[in-house]
Amino acid sequence: MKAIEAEEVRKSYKVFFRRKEVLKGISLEVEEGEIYGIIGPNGSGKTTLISILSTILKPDSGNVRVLGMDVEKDAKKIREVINISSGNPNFLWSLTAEENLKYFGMAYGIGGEELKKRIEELLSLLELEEHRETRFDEMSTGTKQRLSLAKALINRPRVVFLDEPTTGLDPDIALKMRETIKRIHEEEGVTIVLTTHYMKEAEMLCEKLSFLRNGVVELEGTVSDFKTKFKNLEYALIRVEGSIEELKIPHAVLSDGKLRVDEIERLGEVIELLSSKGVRIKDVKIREVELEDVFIQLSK
Amino acid sequence: MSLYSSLNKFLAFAYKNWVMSKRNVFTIFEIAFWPVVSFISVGLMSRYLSLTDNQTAFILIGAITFSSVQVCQLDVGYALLFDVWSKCIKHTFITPTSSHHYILGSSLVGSLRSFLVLLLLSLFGYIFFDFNILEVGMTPLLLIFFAIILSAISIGMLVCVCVLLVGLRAEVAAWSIVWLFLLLAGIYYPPSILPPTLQFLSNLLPLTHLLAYFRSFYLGGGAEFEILTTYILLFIHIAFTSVLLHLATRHAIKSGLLLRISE
Repeated sequence: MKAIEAEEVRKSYKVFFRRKEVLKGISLEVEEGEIYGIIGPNGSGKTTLISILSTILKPDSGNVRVLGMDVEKDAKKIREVINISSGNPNFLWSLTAEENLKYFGMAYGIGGEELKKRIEELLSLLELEEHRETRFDEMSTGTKQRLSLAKALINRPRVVFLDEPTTGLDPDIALKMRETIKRIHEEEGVTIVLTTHYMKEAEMLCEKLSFLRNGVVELEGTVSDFKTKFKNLEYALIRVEGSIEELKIPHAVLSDGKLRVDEIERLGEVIELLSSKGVRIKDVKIREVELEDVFIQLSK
Repeated sequence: MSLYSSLNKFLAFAYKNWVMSKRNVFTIFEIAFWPVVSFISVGLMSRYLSLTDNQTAFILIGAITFSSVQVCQLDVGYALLFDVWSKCIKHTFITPTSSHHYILGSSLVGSLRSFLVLLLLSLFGYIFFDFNILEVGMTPLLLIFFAIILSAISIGMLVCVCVLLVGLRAEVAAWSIVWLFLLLAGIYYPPSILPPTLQFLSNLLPLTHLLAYFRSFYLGGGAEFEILTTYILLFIHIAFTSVLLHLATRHAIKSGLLLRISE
């Protein structure tokens, strides 16, 4: 079954006397059990899209189905089986981690021993045991993010939406968070739809990606599809012995004391030419395309 | 949906209000300070003006009823306001709960706070102003208390409607709407002294009839039909505000307000 099917989704907001179209006919499909990433520059419509998919924003037009249910007609049923975690999370300020989880657990209809057990599992999974008595307004950003993730799992959802889950975290904490998300995905078998600004995160976690710009999906596919599409961004760097200042080699340019070959298919030609001129090559490095390069290219 | 699951959803909101209130210093003020100060002030004023026992009872009943309604309606409004202040309202709305869960859950804590206010003011009335609330009798008192809670629910629901229509700016409604009722329902004076148009509006308020019923035990006059009118009007008011709440929720989800007040 498809976890998410969105067809021609449109959404606009009223800004003073004008309407601003934020989503201009988005279509996408997410398979159950996969981690799907929505990437794109600021203002591209990522949060709007994730809010529509999670039933807290109504689209102007288009069809959206989550686990086969319509987001408008079956919103309440969908809410039983989904959950959300946002970057820069906010919860009830004077409630502790445990109390916040209890409140949300109860709001999902869970109670008694079952809820207690689930809270303990999540406090342990997200390494929040030592913060169980800490009030939300006294937590560090990293702890708040972990609590947000714990809250997003309280009802054992089938689909979890993570809206920029590592925003504002230190690199080491962000990496740990990503590992936790991966572990949760493996252990709980949950479908994850995440938006992110960090291409390393998308590369590490996502099986499939959509690139959004100005409310339109500009590219969709696996990380390797994205890279293949922009294979022309690959280049090779050749380090040689001696001065290269006077070398004039076709298809190669001087870059930081090295020769840079942008057309990889001509690399052999360039190496042959260098050898024929008696230049000794120290090493050749191929700089593969990274998702970040694709992101920059697509954002232009 | 099982009854157990629904009960937990309803209790979630009672739990939230309970813990938030427990840790909020203003709770003491809302229950003890403001109602008591206001009650003693009007009681002393009645002494200064040398009012008769009946006239004093008239005013004290208004003060008790108003304070009891006010503290409970605040709790119902807090069901959403705590989330708005915490910027986490979208997390509440993404749960499979309905407005009746948060209205009833929060009013459970509101009822408790309202009962404490009623108890405290009745005690002060008895000690300082020879006002005995038990003269009303147990069954009428229960009917009055239940009507106070329902009135508070309908006012609190209006606060929730405002929150879902205009967001944080509606917080002022939590403390203001009830004061309109103070003016119209005749908390400290009989509605008959109001101009005809306002008298008409006053007659549409359950609180007006509830006060008439409550006061009839001290001032005489058959007012049994007043309690019936109170409950009929309460039913109409709650049904009407439920529709408004439903529409306001739809508006908040369609306009994106729910997201804006969560950021």
